[in-house]
Amino acid sequence: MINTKALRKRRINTGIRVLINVITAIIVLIPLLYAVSIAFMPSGELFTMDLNLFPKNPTIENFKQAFASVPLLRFIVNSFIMAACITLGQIITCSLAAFAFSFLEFKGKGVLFMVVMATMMVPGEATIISNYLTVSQLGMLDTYSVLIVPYLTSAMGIFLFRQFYSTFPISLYESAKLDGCSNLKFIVRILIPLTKSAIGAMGVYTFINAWNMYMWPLLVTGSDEMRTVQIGISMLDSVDSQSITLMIAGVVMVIIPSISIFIVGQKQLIRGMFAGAVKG
Amino acid sequence: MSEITLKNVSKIYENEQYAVRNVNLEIQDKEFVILVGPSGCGKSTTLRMIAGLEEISDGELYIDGEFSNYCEPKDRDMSMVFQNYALYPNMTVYGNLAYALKIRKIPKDEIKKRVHEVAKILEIEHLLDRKPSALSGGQKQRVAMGSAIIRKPKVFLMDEPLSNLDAKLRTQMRIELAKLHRNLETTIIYVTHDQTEAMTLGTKIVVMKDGFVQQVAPPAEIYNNPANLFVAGFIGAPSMNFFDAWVSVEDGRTLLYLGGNELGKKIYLDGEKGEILQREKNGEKVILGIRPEDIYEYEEAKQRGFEKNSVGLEETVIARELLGAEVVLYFQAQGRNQAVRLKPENETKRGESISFYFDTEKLYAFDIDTQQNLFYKEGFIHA
Amino acid sequence: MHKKKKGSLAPYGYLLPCMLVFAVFLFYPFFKTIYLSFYKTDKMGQAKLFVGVDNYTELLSSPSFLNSLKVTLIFVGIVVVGSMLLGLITAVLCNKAFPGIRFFSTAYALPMAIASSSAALIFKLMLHPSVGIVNKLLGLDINWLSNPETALYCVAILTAWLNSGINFLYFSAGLGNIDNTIYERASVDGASGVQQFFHLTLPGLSPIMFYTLVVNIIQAFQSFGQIKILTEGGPNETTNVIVYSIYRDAFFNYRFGSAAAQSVVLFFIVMLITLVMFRIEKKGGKP
Repeated sequence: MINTKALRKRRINTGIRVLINVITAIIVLIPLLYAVSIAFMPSGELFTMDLNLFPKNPTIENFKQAFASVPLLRFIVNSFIMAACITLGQIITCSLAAFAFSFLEFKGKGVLFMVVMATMMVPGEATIISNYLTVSQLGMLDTYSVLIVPYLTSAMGIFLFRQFYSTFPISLYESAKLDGCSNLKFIVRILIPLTKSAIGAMGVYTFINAWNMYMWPLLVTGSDEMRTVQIGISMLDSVDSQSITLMIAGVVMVIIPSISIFIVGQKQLIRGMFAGAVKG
Repeated sequence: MSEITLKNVSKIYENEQYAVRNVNLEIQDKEFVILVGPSGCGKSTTLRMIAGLEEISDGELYIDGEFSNYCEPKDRDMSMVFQNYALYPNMTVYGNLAYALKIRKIPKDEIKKRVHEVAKILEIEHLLDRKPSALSGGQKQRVAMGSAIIRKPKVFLMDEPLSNLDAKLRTQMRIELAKLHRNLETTIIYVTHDQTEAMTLGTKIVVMKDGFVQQVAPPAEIYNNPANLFVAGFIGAPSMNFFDAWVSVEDGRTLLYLGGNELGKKIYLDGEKGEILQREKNGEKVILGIRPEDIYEYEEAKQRGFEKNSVGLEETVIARELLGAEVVLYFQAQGRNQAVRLKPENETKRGESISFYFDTEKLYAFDIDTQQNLFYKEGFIHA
Repeated sequence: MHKKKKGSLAPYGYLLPCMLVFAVFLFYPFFKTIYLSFYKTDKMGQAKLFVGVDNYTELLSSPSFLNSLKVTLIFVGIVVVGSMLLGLITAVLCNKAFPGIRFFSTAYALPMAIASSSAALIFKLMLHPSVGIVNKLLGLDINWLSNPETALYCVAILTAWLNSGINFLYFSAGLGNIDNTIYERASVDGASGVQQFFHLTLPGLSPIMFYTLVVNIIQAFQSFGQIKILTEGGPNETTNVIVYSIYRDAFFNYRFGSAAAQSVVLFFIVMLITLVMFRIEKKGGKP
């Protein structure tokens, strides 16, 4: 009898906790749940005065039409190419730089590192106009390279990798050197395998941010061939007001890749981001 | 006044695993009770159930006669010292000491007075403005102790409070703890895995293993009248030596063959103990126990007259530890590591052999199946 | 000896790729922006006429820009408070293990994976005056985004929601760093749950709280996509934050000089706030 009382008390406590979480989670997720619901709703159903949370006759028509009215597939491919190249590029440039900052001795190391860190203070808006003018003068507008090249490195990435490398003893590098390992070989064979979690975290974070980029692609792309998804779906918005459901279907499809990558990489992201960052 | 009673208290985890089983315990006012046992024996869980930090799955807990299973920790009027000290990192030493009083809305002057009082007792007055991160292990320990005593609670709970200190500091704090108990005159319930702490501090020792209470008794009784093989082996350092032996009778005298067969060394056991074995275990195997200090080499055994009762055990010394006031020799017998404590003058070296004689009056015998002490006396010494 | 000589240059080789990108797309444009801010430009963005600090004096006497400043500060304030509060609440909710915790923590972090533009399009529908869920649920008939009184709050709440995901992660990590036994000691000491939260949890979070605050402020200043899509700075410039104003001046009015001056002002505001915060942290947060 006593046992059941304790059990009931615990169950009630857990129940309250779960209940509060369910309510909070619904509030947090409402925009997404609503979007998914609308994406499956025939556009006629939306325009009523009744409360219509769920589609009465679910349809995938909206998705079909979204693909038909704008080159959505092309946008998705563009975004993938851009985000993948940026992610790969950042991992390479940042790990090279972080390697030099942690294992090599050279003149001006401290100053250079300060300079890199100072770049974090410069907001993108302070440079975006001049960058636009530069790339337009170079005739780079509306190409993949203009989407990718400016984002090929990041101070945060360098910082994150350096935090990770600083946990390794210098003797790791020295003994590799004694074994006749070249610097590049050391990075590829030893550092990269040892920093998988940091690379994973950085990869997930960078990919999602690149996928979600808005202002720069808006400025530097003009043609449908080069547009990224985030710019592309806002085109759906302006087609006509009857096509709201179609636009939301497009939004849902665009969100799916970034959410999937986030869910798959969440554990990596948390472990990598905070293992290095919080301590420092 | 504070009395704590545990009736059939158990802790069962979700996966049906027992951490503590059917513990019955009565703790009287002003006792220094030690819960001792190897790691995972349920001693900390028991303490945490008394504190209210862990839910009691089954059984009843009474504090001063009141059923208190569901009493919130804050309403139990206890204070606790944790193994890692659990100091509030964002507060100064003063803040840490004062916290429990502040929560209880005690006037500021009174708090100040008591903080300085406690700080003086524990000699941490000069540290009051420091943050815990700027303290050494021993200082942290004192602050944790201070935050516990400042409230003058009914009961102190201590969960391995000395285990993170180095050996010297631990001995020093042990003495201070004993002093503190005398001065404070309150009940202390103390968890440790260290049998020396248990023996030196406790007025009552609770030996636990695998969630079960093995024996509850004052230190001297635990040592001299262990309930079973486990308690006998766990309490005392170096621990008790065990030998398999066969009980037989020769001319009315009880005769024990070491090694469990008739070719082994013979030991005559007279008196009450011999009678018990003759009566209950004649022709059967038992486990004999003898403490390292109850074994002697030939010369001394002869002086004391033990050499008549037994044949000397001829063994090769595998290790020798000179501890100053005594020397401990280690040897192997019956596949077990055994130890003897001899006078420091003994110069037997590693690799040499030596013959030992037992003080047969100090022999223990345990049932081979139940592992109970065959010579156990109920109510041997009263608490 | 040969090796040593080579070694003295090689380190710079590893820095070359990142430094090149920084040089071309960060340092050069940063200084060029400052340079442009002292000039009148043509439609191609070429500096044509040196005007000294005229661009700045014009800005500071322009009611539109002063309005932008005000709007930006209100916007940043709401976003930072809102997103940190949401992140903190959700992190505290997931602090103890319970069934389904993995699902809930993913849900709370999820907004960080969503683009501002996608989120803006969803909010546009939710706030739609006739078919939007907000009006329907509340039984109201408000045109949220064209009403000067509500538009700014709408974009700010959207932004707070977007930024709350990463705050959840920051705070979760911060909570994970707090030693669990101090809560046990506090409950024996007699502290209630609320007292524990204010005496132990919040102070325990203060190191990460500071970092999160700085990151959130910087991030909030940079919000653009949602404003472009939802309100385009309107109605009546009530959502015309500085970043949007820069965008409009540069790419619609082709006043690159003025836009550059606004960028510089924005940079100094962000830097000033960051420096002040570091000052406060150093003074207050000594261990």
